[in-house]
Amino acid sequence: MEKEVVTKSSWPEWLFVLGLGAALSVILNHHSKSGLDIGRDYFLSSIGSNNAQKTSVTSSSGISFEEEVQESINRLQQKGFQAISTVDVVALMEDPRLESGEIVLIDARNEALFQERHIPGAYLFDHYQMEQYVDLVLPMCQIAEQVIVYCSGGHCEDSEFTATDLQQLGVPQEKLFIYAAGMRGWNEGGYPFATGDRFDDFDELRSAQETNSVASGKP
Amino acid sequence: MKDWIVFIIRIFIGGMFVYLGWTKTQDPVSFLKTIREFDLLQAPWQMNIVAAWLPWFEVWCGLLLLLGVGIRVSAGSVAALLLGFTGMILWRALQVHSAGNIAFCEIQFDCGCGTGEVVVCHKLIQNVILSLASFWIAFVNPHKLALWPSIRIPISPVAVKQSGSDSVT
Repeated sequence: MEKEVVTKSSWPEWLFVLGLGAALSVILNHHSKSGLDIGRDYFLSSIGSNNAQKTSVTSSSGISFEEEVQESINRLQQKGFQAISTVDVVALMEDPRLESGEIVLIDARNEALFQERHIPGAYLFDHYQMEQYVDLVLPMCQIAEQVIVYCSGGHCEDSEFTATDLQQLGVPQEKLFIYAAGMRGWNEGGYPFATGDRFDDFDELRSAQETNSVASGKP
Repeated sequence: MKDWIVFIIRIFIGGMFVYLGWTKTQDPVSFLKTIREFDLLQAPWQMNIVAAWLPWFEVWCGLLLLLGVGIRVSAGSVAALLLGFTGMILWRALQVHSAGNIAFCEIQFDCGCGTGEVVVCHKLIQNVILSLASFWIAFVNPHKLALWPSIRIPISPVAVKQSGSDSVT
């Protein structure tokens, strides 16, 4: 007596899970607004920044924020960038050249962080999504006298990457300044900040300055 | 009872992979920065591929587990991913341990797992348990509330002679 045993092959399951999964991953990344460009060198290894700052190992980073900022300033100066202090950026808030576009302030963080809080008058230029911002920001940087770039502060390297992008796009390095204390330094100083898009930053700034004047009794 | 335990674990791991994978797909740049900090991959395209494609693959495997489709391979893939992540976390933790002279279980960092900063010891134990659970799901049968647990196609029938002891003809 004979009976037929039907054996089953498992390759369709492998193909379905791994093959379709891989294909979908490629397609979804390609169509995602925040998707990455596989061929791009996001960390600009050509500028020698492969000594990644191990910022997120909290237990081992026993250095203060001020020391982090100083380390960043030293690193930037070695690469030929000029650093700018919090005091200088605060002074810019009173400088009419900021509103007229002779000085351009660039926020090199991402859109979510920019919307949440940024230095008044800053333009968003996210290095990782630069194609979205370059058409607006580059012409202003080319005609400006000074371009000041900042990111989160301390060991954050995004301001350096953005300054390098701008330099590679034709903005002379002598015009480029990096505010190494960044948004953290600004916040810790308790200075006025803006939220949302840039268009109403100067209204918010004037309002903050008026409030400060009233509080301090100055005209 | 065992079937329901398998079901609950499958839903838990599947849901976790969908959630954590989706979180990473929404901010692949943060994941890319974390991958860079691990210092395991050097070429930009290697880091980009992992940061761009892996999170979507995690979501895919998680969805398959939730729906109960191709469970053996999807659970096996999840287990393999978890073991890979565990190895990477261990490797980096050992580097930090040797460089910083810190007690191993005091080390905390963002492992790129989608949960922010973690205590390494806890994360390693959690990953090993989840890997073992995923392997168990991959090899256990049958599955409750699964749409298409096993994707197989029949191949040429084999005649089996039944005369006392079976022998394949």
